[in-house]
Amino acid sequence: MTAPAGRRRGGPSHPTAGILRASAAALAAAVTAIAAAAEPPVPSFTRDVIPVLTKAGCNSGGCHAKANIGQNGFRLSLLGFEPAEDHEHIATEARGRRISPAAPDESLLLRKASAAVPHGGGLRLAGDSPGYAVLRRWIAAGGPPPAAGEAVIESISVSPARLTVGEGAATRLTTTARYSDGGSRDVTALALYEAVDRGRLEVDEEGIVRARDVPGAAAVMVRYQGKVAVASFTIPRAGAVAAAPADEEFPAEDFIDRFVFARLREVGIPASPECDDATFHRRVSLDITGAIPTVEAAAAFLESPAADRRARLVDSLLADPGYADFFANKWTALLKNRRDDASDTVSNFAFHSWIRDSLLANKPYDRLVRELLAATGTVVENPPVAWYKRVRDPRQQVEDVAQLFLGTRIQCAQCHHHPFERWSQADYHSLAAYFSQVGRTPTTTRGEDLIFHKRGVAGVTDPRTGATLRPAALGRTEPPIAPDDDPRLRLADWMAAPDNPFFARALVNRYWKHFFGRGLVEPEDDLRDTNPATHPELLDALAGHFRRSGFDLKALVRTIVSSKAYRLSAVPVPGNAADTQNFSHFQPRRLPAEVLLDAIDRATGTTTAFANLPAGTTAVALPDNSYTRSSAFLKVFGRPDGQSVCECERSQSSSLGQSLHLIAAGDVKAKLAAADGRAARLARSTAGEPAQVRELFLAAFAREPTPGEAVAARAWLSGELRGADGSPLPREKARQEQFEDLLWALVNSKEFLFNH
Amino acid sequence: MTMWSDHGNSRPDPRARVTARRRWLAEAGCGFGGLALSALVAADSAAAAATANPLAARPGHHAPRARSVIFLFMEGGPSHLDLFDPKPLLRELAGRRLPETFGKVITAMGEAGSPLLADKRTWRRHGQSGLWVSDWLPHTAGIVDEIAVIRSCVSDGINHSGGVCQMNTGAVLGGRPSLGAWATYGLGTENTDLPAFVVMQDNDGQVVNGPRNWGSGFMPAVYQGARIGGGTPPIPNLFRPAGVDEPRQQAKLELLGRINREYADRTPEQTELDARLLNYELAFRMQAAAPLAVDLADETEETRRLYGLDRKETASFGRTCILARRLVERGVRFVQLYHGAGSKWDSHSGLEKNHAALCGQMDQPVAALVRDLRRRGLLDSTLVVWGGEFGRTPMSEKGDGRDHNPTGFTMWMAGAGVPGGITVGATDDLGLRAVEDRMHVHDLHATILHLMGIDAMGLVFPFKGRPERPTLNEGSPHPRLVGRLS
Repeated sequence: MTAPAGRRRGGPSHPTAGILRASAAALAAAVTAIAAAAEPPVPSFTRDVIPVLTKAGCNSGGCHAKANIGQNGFRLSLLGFEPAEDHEHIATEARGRRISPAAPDESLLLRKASAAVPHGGGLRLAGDSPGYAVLRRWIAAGGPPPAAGEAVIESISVSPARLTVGEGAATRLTTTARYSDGGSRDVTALALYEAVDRGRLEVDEEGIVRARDVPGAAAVMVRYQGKVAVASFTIPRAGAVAAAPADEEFPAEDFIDRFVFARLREVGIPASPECDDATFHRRVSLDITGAIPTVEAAAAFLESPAADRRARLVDSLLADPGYADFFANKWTALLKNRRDDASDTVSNFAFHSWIRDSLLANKPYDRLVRELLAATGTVVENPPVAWYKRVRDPRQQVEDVAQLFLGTRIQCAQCHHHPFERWSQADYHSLAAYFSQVGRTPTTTRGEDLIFHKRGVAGVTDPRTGATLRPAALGRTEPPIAPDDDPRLRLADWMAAPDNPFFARALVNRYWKHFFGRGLVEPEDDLRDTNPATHPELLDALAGHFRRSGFDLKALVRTIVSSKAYRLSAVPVPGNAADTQNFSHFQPRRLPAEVLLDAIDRATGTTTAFANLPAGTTAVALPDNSYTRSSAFLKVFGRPDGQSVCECERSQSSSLGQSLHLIAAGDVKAKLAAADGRAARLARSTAGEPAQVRELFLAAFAREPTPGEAVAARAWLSGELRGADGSPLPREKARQEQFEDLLWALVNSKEFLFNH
Repeated sequence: MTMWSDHGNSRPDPRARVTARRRWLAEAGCGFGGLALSALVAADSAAAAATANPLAARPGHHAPRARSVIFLFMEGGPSHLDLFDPKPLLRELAGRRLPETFGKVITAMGEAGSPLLADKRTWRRHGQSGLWVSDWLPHTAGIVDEIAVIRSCVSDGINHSGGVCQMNTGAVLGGRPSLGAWATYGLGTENTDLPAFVVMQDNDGQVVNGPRNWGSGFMPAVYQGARIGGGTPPIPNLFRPAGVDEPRQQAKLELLGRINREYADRTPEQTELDARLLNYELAFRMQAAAPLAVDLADETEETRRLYGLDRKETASFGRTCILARRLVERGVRFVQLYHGAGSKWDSHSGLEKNHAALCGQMDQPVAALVRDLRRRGLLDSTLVVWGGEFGRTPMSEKGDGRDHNPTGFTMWMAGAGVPGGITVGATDDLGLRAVEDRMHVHDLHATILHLMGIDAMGLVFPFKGRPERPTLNEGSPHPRLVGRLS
C-alpha cells in the first residue's frame, strides 16, 4: 500500500548525500558528454529538449499533459510522444511568449520551470541544472522545430539486464539509447526509473537501485522517449545459504519443480513440506471441480492403500462433470454471459452449455477460441455467436480479445502510446481491423442478431492520420486478406501459431494463478515487457508444453496439480512465512462465492433451489449472472457480474456482510436446521457418537477429527439444552440442535472457509 | 426459546456471561487479531506489512479539520431555485422562453425551450448572516449561521446515473472508488469495532447505481461502504437468529473459537490467512459493539423530539440522522445518508407537492443534526455536506416541474471549521449556470478531502500502471471553505 503517497514535487529524494553528490556529478558528466557527442551545438527538440521535459515531469498526465486541456492553458503531449504538437505549443502558441530567443533566461518556459515566477508545479529545473542549460541553448538558437530526417530512437537497453543483489545492496544502472542512424548514447541521467515491485527494490532518479530486505525476484522498468527496457534482479535471503533447500533431483518431465525449486534455492527461501493426503484431497477437489469432497470420497481416499492414489484422484476429478461446471463458470463470467433482459435467457443457456460441453469433451483450447472468435450464424445454431451479442462494439471486441486471450491490455493505445507498453495507436487499430468485417443483421428473435462475414477488404481508419490500416496482429505483418476471407480466421491462425508469443503464455499463466493464487505474471492478464514474470523460464516451458500438447487443457491441469510445488503445505516453515512470490508454500484462499455455497450445501446435506433450473443444480453450474441478483449469499460473497473481462471482477476479499451472513443469516440457518439435512439425520442416527463426530469432520474438512476436536465435539453433545422455562428440551429436539450447533461451528471455521 | 447450560445447571449469572464473552473475544476475536497484527509488525518485510490491517488508522498529509464526514445526499436533484438561490428575474420572465442570450441549452428531457417557471416561495434572510432560505426549510433557516451555502456547484452528469456516480466517485462512468472509499484508503479507521464507511437510506428504495455509489472500484473491497438500514435491524444479520438466546450464542462462539484454535495450533504463523480474517473478527466484535451504536434507547426524549422521531413524516430520516451522529461519536470516518432514496427528489412534474413533502421529511432532522453536533462539541471535527447530484432548471417541465440542471446548483457545508453564514459563488440571473466561483464536483471533493487532511493530488492508488487519484487529477480545495481566506 502506498497511501497516502507524497506528492512528487521538488527535487528527487536521495538516500545519502554521498550518492547525491556522486549522481549529480554523473548527471553533469552525462549531459556534458551528450553535448560533446551531439556536436552541432543546437540541441535537437526531439532528442534533447523533450527528454528534459519528460524527466522533469512537465508532460506527465497529472500536469501539462492532462488529457485535452493541459494545465493552466499550457498543454504538452503525454510523455512527449508528439514532438510536433509540443513544439507548436512551446514555440508558437500564445504568440510565442513562452520562449524568448533574444533573452533566453526571460523565457516563460524557463522562468516557470525554475520557479522564478509563481508556478503551480513548483521548481522543476534549477537555473544551474544541466536540463535548464539544454533548454536555454535550444531557445537561444531560436527554438528550432523537430528536424525532418533526424535520426529517431529505435531502442534502449539497460545494463546490467540481470543481476543478483544482496539485501540492502545498491547498484547503478546504465541506460543506452540506440538511434536509426546507428548511433547511440548514454541517457542514464535522462531516463525514467520505476521499481516494478516497490516492496523489494527502490530506485532513484539517477538509476541507482537498492534492494530491500524482501527476498525474491524484482525488476526495474526503464523508460526513455517511448522506449522501455527492464532490469531484472534476484534478491537472495540474507544469511540464507545454510538454510537453502537441498539440491533436489526432479525427473526431466517435471519441469515445474525444476524451475520452482531452482528459484527457491537461488533466493534462499526454504520450501514447506508436502501437505497430507486429506489436505491434498480437499485442495485439489476445490481447485478442479469447485467442490469439497463428499464424506464417502473423503473416507475412501484416506483408506486407500494405492501408491498412485493422488494421480488417480486427479484423473477422476478431471473426468467429473464438476470440472466442466467449475471452469465453465470461470469462462462464462470472463466472456460476459450476462442476463440484462429475460429475453437473454435462451442465448445465455446455449452459450454456457457450449462452453461447458467443450470443456467436458476437452476441446483443444485453440479450437475453442477459434470457434468463438470466428463465430457466424445465430445463437441457436451456433452458441458462441452469443459473445458478439454481449460484446458489440469492435473496440470492445479487440480489447477483450487482447486481454483475455493474449494477456495484453491494449485499451490505452486507443488514444495514446502507453508509456509502459510497446503498442502504438496504429497497433491498436490494426488489431481492430480484424473485426471490421463482422456483419450483423437482426433476426426474428428479439435481441438476437445473425452474425456473418461482410464481404470486403478489412481495414479501419486511423483516427489521427485518416489513413486506412489493414489487419495486423501485435508485431506481425499480415499478408493481404481477400474480400471473401473472414479476417477473424487469420487472427485465430496467428494465435495458435507455434511462434505466437502471447496466446499459450496468457492461458498457462491464467491457469497457474487458478491453482497457485498468484500468476507467474501478476496481474494474470497483463503480460508485457515491463511486467516480467517471476519465473520466466517456467512460463516459457509451461507455454511450450501446452502448445505441444495440442492446447490440451486437461493435460495442463494434470501437469500443474501433479507437481510437488502444488502439493506443498500451507503451513510456513521458518524463513518462508513472508514469501508470497516464490511458491514456497501454498497460499490459502477464501472459497469463492459459488464454491462456498455449494460447500455449505454439501456439508449440511442440503441443496439450494435456483429459478428455472433442475433440482440439485449447484451454484458453480449456474449459467449466468442473473442468479447473483436473487441470491443474497452469492452477492455478499462477491460472485462477479460478467461486466468485465478481468478476473479481478470477482471479489475475493472478506467483508463484514459476509461474516455476519455466515454467523446469522436465515438461509444458512435453514440449511443447518433442514429436516432432511445432515444434523437432523445424525440426530436420528444410532451409529454412536464417535462415528457421528467423524462424519461431521469428514463432511467439513475431508479428514478425521483430531483427539482434541473429538473431545470438544463430544463435550458439546453431552451438554443439555433447556427451554426458556428452564425445563430440559425434548431429547430429539435437543439432539438435533446440538448437531446443528456443531455443524455451524465447523462451517464458520477458518479451515472450512479457506482452501489451504 | 431454548437456552444452553453446561451441566444442567440453571442459566449462568450475568457476570459469568460477561467473563465468557471476554474470554471468547480474547481467544477468537481481539486477542487473535492483536496477535496477528503484532506478528506482522514484527515481520521486518514490506511484503508482509502490505498484508497488515489495511484499515489501520494513519495520518493524512496535513492536520485535519474534519475527523469525520456526514454526507447528506438528496437523491434525485433538489431545486436550488426553490430552496437556497432566489431569482427575482425568474418571476419577471415566468411563462416566457429562456432569453436567446443564454445560448444553446441541452437538458435531460429536452426542456430547453419550455416556458420559465417562477418559484412560489416566500424568501427571507435568516440569522445574523442574513442568508437567503425559502419557507420550505424553516429549520435549516435556523442554522444558517453554521453553514456555507455554495450556489455555484457544477457537475458533468446530465442524468441521474451519471450525476449520482460523479457526485460519489468523481466520474460519470462507473468503476471508480467512491469518496468515502478514498478517505478510508487514505486515513484508515480509528474504531476497529465498526466499519469505517457507513451508508444509510431513509427508505428501502434502490438508489440509482446501487452499491456502486459506495463501492471501492478498483481498490480492495475492504474500503467499500457498509450499507446499514435505518430501521430495525439496522445491519442485516447483526443480531442473533431468532430462537437463539445470548448464552447459547456465546457458547457457540466459544466452540468455534476452540475449533479455530485447534487449527491454529496445527498451522502456526499463517499471517496472511490471519490478516484475511480481520473481517470475520470485526463481525464478531460488531455483534458486541454495533447494537450499542445503533440502539437509540439511551437518547433523551428531548433529543428524539429534536430530530422529529415523534412525528411520522420526520421519524425515518430523523432516525438515520441520530444514527449518523452516534456513529461519528464512535469514530466512524465517513457516513453517507441518502434522503429520497430512489430519485424521490426528481420532480419533473408536480414540484410543489414533491418538494413540500420531501423538505418536510428532511428539514428538521438535518437542522437537528447540525445543532446536536454543535452542542456535543462534535461539529468542529465533523464536516456535514448537504446536496444532491444536480439542481433543477429555471425552465418548466410538464407545466409544473423542472428538468435536471447540472450546470449550476446549490450544496452546503457545515462544521470542521468551514465558515458559517457565508455564500460561495453565484449562478446567473435565472439560476441556470454557475457564473461566479464555479465549484465542480472535483473541487467539492478536493475541498472535502482537504478538510479531512488529504491532499487530493497526493493520494495515489496505483492501478493498471496508472497513478489513480480521487479527483482524477482535477479540482482544488476552495480557499474560503478550507479557511485559507475569510
